[in-house]
Amino acid sequence: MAELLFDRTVYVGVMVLLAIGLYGMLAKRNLVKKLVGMVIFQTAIYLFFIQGAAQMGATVPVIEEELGTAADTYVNPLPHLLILTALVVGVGVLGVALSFLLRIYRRHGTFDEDEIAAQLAAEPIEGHRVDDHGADHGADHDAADPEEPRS
Amino acid sequence: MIWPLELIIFLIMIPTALLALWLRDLLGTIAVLAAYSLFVALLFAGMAAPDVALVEVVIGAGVTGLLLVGAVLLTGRRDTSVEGGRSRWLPGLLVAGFLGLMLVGSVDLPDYADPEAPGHQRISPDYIEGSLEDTETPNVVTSVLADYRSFDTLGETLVIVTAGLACLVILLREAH
Repeated sequence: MAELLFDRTVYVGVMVLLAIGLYGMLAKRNLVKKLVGMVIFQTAIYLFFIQGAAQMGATVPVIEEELGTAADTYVNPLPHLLILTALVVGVGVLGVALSFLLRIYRRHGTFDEDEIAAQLAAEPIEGHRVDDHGADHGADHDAADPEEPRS
Repeated sequence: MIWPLELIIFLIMIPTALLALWLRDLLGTIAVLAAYSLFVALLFAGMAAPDVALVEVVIGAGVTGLLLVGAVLLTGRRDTSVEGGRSRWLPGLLVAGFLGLMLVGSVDLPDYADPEAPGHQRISPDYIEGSLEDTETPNVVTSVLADYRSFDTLGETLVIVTAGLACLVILLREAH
């Protein structure tokens, strides 16, 4: 009976985790928290695929001599493979997002969405790159010049 | 599949995810997120996916945590954002609608661990039955990853290279 209930409960758990991740991405004002929400959302999707691979009475998809090669002895290996790929790609996404965050932080000095919006509203957006700490890095700028042609 | 264990892990994971979003100290958030990834890995192991569980532990808890810790140590550790007003109830409403839609949509999905589910019927049995003959690899996930669907893996490698190059471009352009 309880096992019968779990047939559907696993979906409820996955959907609740998806909702938590989405809430983190939408409602949190801190950009790192938004990323954490994204990781939770991704994990819930992985979980959805892996629970779809499970089969009653089936075991780990590694062929054993004494079990034979009947397909219903082993769980479905295909979702496992898809999720292995997705896990690695997920870290790639996170890495790119974090490098954007580092740049945003160096430019604005905060991860707070509202504060960044206020800063952007306060200063006019120009077509070329705004270098608001150019004065501090004037020396760096000159030193970097010989290495490459002036852009 | 031991369903009481999986139910308990689910019941632990939901508060863990909420705690990760609620904490004000970002390093604390990352620690809780790593714990969350470990619980997910346990669940994967319970659902007979040891390969995915291992990768989740190494990448989900390890590499993700390291990247986030590195970024937070280079920047600010505290979440000082103020929440309230419109930002509080509008996303909540949207997420509630999303959850409702997803739950309604999940009604038509096959039961958990149903051997008759359509996903298990077509190509997967061929992989399992052919793995030992075709590739001499007992681990079916490995043989599908590196043999039957190795172009997928090649594409994945390209994605990772692109992501690495994108990180370099984003971070280095600022230096001058």
